Amino acid sequence: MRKLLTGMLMLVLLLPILAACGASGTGGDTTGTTGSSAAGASTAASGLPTPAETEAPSTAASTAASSPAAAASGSAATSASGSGLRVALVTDVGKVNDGTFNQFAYEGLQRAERELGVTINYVESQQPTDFETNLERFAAGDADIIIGVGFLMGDAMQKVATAHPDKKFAIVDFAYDAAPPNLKGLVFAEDQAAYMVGTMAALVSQSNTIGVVGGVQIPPVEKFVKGYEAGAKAQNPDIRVLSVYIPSFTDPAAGAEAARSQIAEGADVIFGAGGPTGSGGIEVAAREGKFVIGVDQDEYATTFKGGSAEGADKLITSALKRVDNAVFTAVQDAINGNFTNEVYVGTAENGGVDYAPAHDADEVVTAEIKAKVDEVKQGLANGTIKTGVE
Amino acid sequence: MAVQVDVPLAPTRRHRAAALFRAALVPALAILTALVIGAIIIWFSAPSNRGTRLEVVVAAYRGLFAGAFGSRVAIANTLVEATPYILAGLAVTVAFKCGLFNIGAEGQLFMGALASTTVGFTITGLPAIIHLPLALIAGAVAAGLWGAIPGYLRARTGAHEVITTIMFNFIAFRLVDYFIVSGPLRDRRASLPRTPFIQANAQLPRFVGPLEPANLTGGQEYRPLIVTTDPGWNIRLHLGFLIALLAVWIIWWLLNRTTTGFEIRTVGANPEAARYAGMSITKNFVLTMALSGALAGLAGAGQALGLERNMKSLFSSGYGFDSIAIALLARSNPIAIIPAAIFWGALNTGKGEMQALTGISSDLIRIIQALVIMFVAADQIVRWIFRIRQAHGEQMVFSRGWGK
Amino acid sequence: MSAQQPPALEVRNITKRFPGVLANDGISFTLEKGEIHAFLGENGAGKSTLMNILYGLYAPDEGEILINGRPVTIRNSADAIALGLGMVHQEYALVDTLTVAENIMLGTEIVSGPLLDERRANQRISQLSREYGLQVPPDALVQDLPVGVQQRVEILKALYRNAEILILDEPTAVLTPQEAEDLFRVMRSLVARGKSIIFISHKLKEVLSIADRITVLRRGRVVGTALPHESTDRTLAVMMVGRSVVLTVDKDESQPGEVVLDVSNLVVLDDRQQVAVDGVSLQVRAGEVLGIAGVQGNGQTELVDAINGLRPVVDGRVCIAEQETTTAAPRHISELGVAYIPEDRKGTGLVLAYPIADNLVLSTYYRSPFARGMRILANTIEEQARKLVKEFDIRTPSIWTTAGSLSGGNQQKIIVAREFSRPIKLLVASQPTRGIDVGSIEFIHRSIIQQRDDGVAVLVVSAELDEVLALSDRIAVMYKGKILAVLPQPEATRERLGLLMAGITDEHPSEEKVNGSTG
Repeated sequence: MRKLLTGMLMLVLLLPILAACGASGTGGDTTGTTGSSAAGASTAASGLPTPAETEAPSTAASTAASSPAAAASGSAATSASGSGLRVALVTDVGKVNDGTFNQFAYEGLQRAERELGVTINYVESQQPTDFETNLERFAAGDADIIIGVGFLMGDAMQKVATAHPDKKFAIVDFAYDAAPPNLKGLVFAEDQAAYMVGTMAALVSQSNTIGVVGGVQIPPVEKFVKGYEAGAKAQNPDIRVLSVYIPSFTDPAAGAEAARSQIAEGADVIFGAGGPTGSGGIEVAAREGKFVIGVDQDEYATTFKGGSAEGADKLITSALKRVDNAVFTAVQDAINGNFTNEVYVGTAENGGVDYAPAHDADEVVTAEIKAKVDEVKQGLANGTIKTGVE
Repeated sequence: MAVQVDVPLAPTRRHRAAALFRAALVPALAILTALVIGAIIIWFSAPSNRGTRLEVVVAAYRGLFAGAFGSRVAIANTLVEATPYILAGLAVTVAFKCGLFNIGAEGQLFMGALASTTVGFTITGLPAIIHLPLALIAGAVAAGLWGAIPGYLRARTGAHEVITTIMFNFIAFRLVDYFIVSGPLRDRRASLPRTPFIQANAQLPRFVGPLEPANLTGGQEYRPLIVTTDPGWNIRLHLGFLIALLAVWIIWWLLNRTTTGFEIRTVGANPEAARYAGMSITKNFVLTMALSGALAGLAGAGQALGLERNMKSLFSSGYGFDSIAIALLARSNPIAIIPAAIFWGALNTGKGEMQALTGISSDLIRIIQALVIMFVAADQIVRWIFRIRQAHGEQMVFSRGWGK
Repeated sequence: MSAQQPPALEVRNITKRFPGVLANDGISFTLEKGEIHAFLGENGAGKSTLMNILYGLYAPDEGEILINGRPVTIRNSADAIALGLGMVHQEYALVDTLTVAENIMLGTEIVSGPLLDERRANQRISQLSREYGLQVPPDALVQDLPVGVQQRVEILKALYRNAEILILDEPTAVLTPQEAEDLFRVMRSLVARGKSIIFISHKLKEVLSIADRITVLRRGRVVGTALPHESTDRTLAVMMVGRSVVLTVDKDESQPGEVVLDVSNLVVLDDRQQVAVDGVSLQVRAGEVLGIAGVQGNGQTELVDAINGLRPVVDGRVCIAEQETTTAAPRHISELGVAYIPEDRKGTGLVLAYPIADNLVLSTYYRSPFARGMRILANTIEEQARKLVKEFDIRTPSIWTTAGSLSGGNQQKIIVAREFSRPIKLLVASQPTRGIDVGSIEFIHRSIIQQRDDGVAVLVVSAELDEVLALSDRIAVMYKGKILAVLPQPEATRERLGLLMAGITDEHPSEEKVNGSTG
């Protein structure tokens, strides 16, 4: 009896191990991409590519390492002159295949590895207290360029960069008032991304009322909200744009509540612009049959779990920050000797912001609508369209 | 829960050595087993571009060890990481001794950090000899009160402390969010949601290190005890570590050498007998939870005053929760908390190096930690694997059930 | 039984060693078919070890076991069940929230397809209970049944699994006298139908009344086998402890002094908030023993709890040494000089995980000489432990041995030693010798009388009539929360007490009245 019980316990034991094998495999390997990320990536790749794709990789989510198309699309802008340079990535809490900025940053690095011949390495942070030790690990070690992800790393980054003036640092989604000479902030023109999705929202809306659920009212969030409004109004001056700021980035319940009340007021497209708070809003809205727009990354891969979550067919696009392009550019600058502490701002022009494909909602987002949005994107890129947001 | 081999009031040296060996055997073997299983996992998940599977396994553990103990800085980082674990682990242990399961260490840690940071930056002009103790005491008292409430509720209304302390965690998190993200304690000049930096006189100084540029520390000059420019001595180990060790000694002494400790342990081991012997269950529940909370609060205070020098909204990531695991691993022995916490800290510190060297996901560390805890909690498995016989009365007694 | 038929069970030369202990030393015995074979022995004599070997829980180091003349190996309890052995432990292995039928079926479910066939199982259970006179309602939840009925469920469970040999491990320890009588009736009906029973007990009188043969164990060996009609409780007691045991306590006439405990109109509720003590008044004087007799569960537990401050008093008052203590805290009461030997020695009286030394200061740890300020003085505690272990003859390898690893008698001696180690005015002893060996009983009884002679007021509560009779100067009988009568010891015959314990009060006074009028 006792032996039997123990035997069963041992069996139970095996389960987490097997599960772990899969997880570790995806996390640790650049070539053997399996599991969830591959699934997400392949679905993403099957989505229609954005027409105005330049020499940059396909959409962010589709830049899976295993995709031969992505590898081939490298137009060899630079020779392998960066060969030997070592670039290291320290993620925000999360993993290099989690569908967030972490993954995009890693994809940017992988592209740099292929196209610029740098050697890459990474460490995933499991908690905010890991940031400093992880950064320090590479700074004190053999890395030449160290990339950090997320504004939460701001303080740790500045500290380590100051202590290691001989190394180059870049941080995603954060800009300093006075950065050390070797630290570059990588931020994005949120208003331009929002302008694009605002255009799409206006085109998709039937009720002539759209909504946006913002997070804490800080400049980047305001830029999202205002850009969205400007984009929609430019398309349809009569459209009503409901907007709300919620004083937290981590309160999905409050986001959901806000989305519900906007739906009650007639909104049929909701843009969630505030981290998990906004995601909570669009999750609920999608389940209630309204069209929704994600933010930062392609939320098809995250909030809607690669299409398996309820309401995934309602996600018409996401306002993208192309972290991969930003990271790639930072590495390229370092190789070309152009690296400064001047803040990189990702725009429509330099491929730093974009909008995500419609995935399962492509019946709604017709070729016509896409053409319209791409026109706007083109305009933003060449300066003929201004968002009017400062 | 977890009442086991109690140290008698005055055991012989031989008896104590034998008991120590017996008590340490299962946790040690649990760690060994978990590491072996971890090796098997690495074997199967090894990336193909990093050498043979065996090489990856060896490199992973070598990296883990080097990252945790490979250099002076690494050792210091491990001890820094262990510091909150020691204090919060003690907090959980003290509660275990009284038969209480304090899941609220995390919330108490937040309250402690919040109180000591607030005292640390709002009061100015005090000398360090007053300001630092004041900040520490503020943290301990605030968290102690935070812990005492569930203790009182348990004793008076029977509301189980597992439920109430979990709920109090959420209240603490939201309170901290309010104060730091949108509320009055936020540093308006910082782009991150955090408090201002504490006064230099309120810091728990680092032992050795360079002077930090004041522009990174909100204008405060945090002097280490010994100032050096040698980069090899740029270590983050701070006075909080000594406080943690001191706390271990005090708690051990309190539990095993005082009437208060005797009461706490008796209430934990057999509340009926404690009542019969004239001890007050209410008093001991409240006292123990206050003590437990105060220790967890010190853990938070140490992180805030010694490491961060301010408090961020994402301040701790589960030190209070991990400390439950550490208390289990140490089998509720205050002294054993130290090696258990250092082991835990070493895993956390070494995992980055392990991943950088081998590409193995740092999730592996979480798996190893989970396995260790499973083997310690379900120690029959370890005993079965290694064919260890159970000495009489040695088994762990888990929670006596809910209510009552 | 006939010589041709092999015995139902034969044990030859069983030896079992534990580290430092020879638990069973060459034990041999036979159990004939249809026999009740009793095993007597002090705690630690090796009875439990022997039974656990028979039931497959331990493997013997030497010796063999034969069932119906065939040698068998019993590796685990499944083997034992398959060989027709059934065991009823002291602590029942029943699931409270299941019905009787479900408990009995557990592990041997009758199924039709994937479903339980409860109807067939119920039929079989009803048939078995009729056959052996075990009245058990198959649909009742076990938690709703009294202990005596739960025990019958355990017996039924064994019969359901076709047990031919039943091992009953101290079955009467938890039963009321009536329930014990019921059990004996069941046992007789079992053997009448060819089952064989091994009966383990401490209680000499029971063994004499029910057993066909009695085997006495001491220190792991068989000291002898006796037939009931050739033995008396005295001869058996001598065999058990190896010396003459005083079953009646020698004591002088009591010298009652002033009132130490004064309880008036006390009302106390039990755990279910029902009135358990219903207006009790009693007084105990210095230098006398007041015994409370009564079937267990008539409010005795609640009464002594309330006197010691462990249970709130609803109405009435308690005075100890001329101080009102109705709402006093337990510590205050203990500091007035009250010693309390609680009924539940393992659950209340001791911390089993603690070493003996710590248990010996459980109620005095905070006082001089064991503590100074908040510091515990380990040396004096150790000294005290060595002294008391010797003085009270606590048999233990060391004062650091945990209380949980000692036998019941030695555990009880720890409590007695602790309570008597400080100056006391009142001793409250509840079931002071329940379930312990004769040697320890004698020792504890002598200690109690010694306290009385030293001028302590003593209140003894016991379910054992013999104990109450042996110790008390006056005897109160408690029934349904009330004291029905208080009799001086010489007038308290078993018969009178028995009637009172059954709640019959009016017969006796009326009898007296008749006597008075005629005389």
